[in-house]
Amino acid sequence: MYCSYEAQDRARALLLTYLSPGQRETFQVRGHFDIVKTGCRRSLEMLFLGYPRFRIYRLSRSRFPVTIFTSARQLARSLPKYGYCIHSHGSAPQDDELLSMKLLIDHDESRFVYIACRFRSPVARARLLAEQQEYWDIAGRA
Amino acid sequence: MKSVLKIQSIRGDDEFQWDPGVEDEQLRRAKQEFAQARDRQFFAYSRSESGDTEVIEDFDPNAREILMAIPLLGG
Repeated sequence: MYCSYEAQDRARALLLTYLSPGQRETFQVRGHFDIVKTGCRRSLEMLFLGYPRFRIYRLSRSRFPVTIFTSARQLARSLPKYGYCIHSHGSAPQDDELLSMKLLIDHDESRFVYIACRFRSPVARARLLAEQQEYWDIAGRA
Repeated sequence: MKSVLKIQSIRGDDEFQWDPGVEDEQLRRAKQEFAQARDRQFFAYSRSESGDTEVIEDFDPNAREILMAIPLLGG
């Protein structure tokens, strides 16, 4: 079952009212917004899973809606370390899902980590492979 | 000023309004919808006028806005 355009518009409007002015601007211009959790308390599970102090979640309407940056270098290069597989039970507008994820990360990060399936970011992997390929191409020509 | 309960759904969100401090059918309906959404594992958040949100476990008749966010699954 698909959501109507009207439902998507309503979900978008609701999401925008829950974003901070900075997040709203970034979302409207770039299609994503960040949630900064750097320095926030980590649960025991998060510590076991190796979550560092530096944590910035990026939410977008892409195929992988939530990614995490665990260092300033990753953030500067837009290469998240992990992505998360998480979705809603049924058919809901994607912006409703984003809002639910945002609020869960804001208020109960450890529960988000518990619910979502974490995987190595495919973006980072693809870029790494491209860089390696480029290196071998250059090395082959030399 | 009326309070509002917003429940995320396939239609975007469904709204239920009530007057704080007035025990009427609208309030009873909002409470009932809140309870049903909780049973379906929805997350409940209360939002103040300043825009700050907090997690709530029970229906707050004095809240300005309550949002029931859709449950999430991993995998």
